[in-house]
Amino acid sequence: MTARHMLVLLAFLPALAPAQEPSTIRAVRAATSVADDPDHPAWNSAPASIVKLETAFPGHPSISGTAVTQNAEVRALATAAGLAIRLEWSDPAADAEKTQHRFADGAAVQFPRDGKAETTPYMGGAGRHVNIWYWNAAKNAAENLWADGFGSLTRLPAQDVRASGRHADGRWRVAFFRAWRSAEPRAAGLRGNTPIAFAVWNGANDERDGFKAVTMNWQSLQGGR
Amino acid sequence: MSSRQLAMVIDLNKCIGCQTCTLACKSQWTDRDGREFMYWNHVESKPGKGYPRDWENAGGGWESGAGAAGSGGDKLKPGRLPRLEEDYGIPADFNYDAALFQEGEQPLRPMQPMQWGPNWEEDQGAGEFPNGYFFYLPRLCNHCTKPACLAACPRQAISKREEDGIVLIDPSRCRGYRYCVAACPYKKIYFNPLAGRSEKCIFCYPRVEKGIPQACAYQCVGRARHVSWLDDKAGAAWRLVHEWKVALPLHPEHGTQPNVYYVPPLSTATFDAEGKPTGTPRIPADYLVSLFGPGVQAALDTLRREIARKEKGEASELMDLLIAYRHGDMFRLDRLGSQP
Ligand code: SF4
Ligand code: SF4
Repeated sequence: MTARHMLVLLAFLPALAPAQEPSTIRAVRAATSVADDPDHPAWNSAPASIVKLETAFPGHPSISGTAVTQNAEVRALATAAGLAIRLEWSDPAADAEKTQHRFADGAAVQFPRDGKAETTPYMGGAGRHVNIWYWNAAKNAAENLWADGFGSLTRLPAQDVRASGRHADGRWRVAFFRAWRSAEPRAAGLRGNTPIAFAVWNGANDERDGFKAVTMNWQSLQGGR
Repeated sequence: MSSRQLAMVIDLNKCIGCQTCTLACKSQWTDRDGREFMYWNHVESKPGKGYPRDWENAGGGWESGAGAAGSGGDKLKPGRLPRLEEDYGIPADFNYDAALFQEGEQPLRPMQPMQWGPNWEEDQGAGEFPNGYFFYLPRLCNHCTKPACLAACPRQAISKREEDGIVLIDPSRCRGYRYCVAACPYKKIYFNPLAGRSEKCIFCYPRVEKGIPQACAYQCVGRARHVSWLDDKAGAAWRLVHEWKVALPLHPEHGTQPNVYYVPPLSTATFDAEGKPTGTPRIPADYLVSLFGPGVQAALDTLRREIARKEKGEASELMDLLIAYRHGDMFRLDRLGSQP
């Protein structure tokens, strides 16, 4: 983190204060193979947790504005093959096209690589990196990424996360899926209970990069393998 | 700031608007893979809204602030992203087959309706008959000394090369966030929706590394473009920018310190009601000042004085340099600053 990034962070620290109780997301066992189908009936068996989203710390002078999305509904299913997580949030318009001047909607799930809540949820830090599953409406697919601080986001060699989204009735439903084991050494382990964080981008509001709505603290995912 | 800077000087009195430079660039770098709409080099007619449409009012650059004149402050001005149809223009297909190979008299036309393009207002200009005027303004990335695009990128995907000052986007780091597109006051970065990345003029660095001038400069039919190191005192850039002070940066008020310089256009006198020349150049002085800053008047005076000399048969080093009797004399790219 550069001195300037530190200053930007400090300037926003008072806004950090809401000691929001972290939500617990309980992964429910599902017999069927759900994979990344956001409309699979098995999702009805998983309890919905509402997570509160707020505008992320900008991290760079270029990033400014107030993110639109204020909360998301999260569900998790543990199947024999792997872990499925579904995010659902309200967005009246699907921005699924990346044109010269428009941005696509997006969503992400983040885990600390070491499974510990001491890793900062703000894109990780030196020596404590995070694994991010990123879905973008323009591609309607997932990207498997890692980061160890602002501006460090990088694609992982193993792209073994799947995601797909569907927009209906003014809401996005996006399901992520990854097998329990990953060939990627920098990927999250998904064992036992793990801290988890979320982000949503509203393309119509020019949200991209660090301009996004995020959970300010780690939430807790229970019932992984 | 890089340790050396390669610079280009474009003589607007010699540019004939032929677009050879535009096509040299396009066929080399941007005729495929989502770049079809982009013109890293283009030539617009001035006055006019240009390309992308209204780029001069699209923001970007540095807030003017503390620091030497023209060096700008340290805060970026907000800018907007140009749109494809309205501001760049779609890369339309033309009815070549019908117009060129079929019976009948079909005019050559785009097959999709177009709203704008890289030289939409060709030769339109301004002013009323008989005092209308226009001139051509070739534009490319200025490989600025203080690039706003570089500062705007949160991912450090843009760098300025130490050895020649060329500003490049690293495609493996760019994630298409487009802060750079908004930040460039010249709107010379383009977002490639197919690749999901921003792309721009690379100053033909693979050619430059071999000592070969940029395609736009080398192909220039008008012999309007000079390329040399800005610190090479025998090179055209140093001589025209620093020694003769006839080459000026475009819109220096944005504070990015461009390294493409322009010899401003002279123009013939307007006619009065009786049809007599007035002695006042038809391109208004304040318009040229708005483009090239306050140095314009002195530059035009120098040009007129040296032209007059040449007309009288006297020697003029400046005119010899601008005329460029030998094509090869216009380029000094090797690292020592001598001719290729
Ligand atoms: S002209 Fe624009 S894109 Fe080129 S270096 Fe300057 S600010 Fe960057
Ligand atoms: S090739 Fe030269 S003369 Fe022709 S438009 Fe380009 S700069 Fe002008």
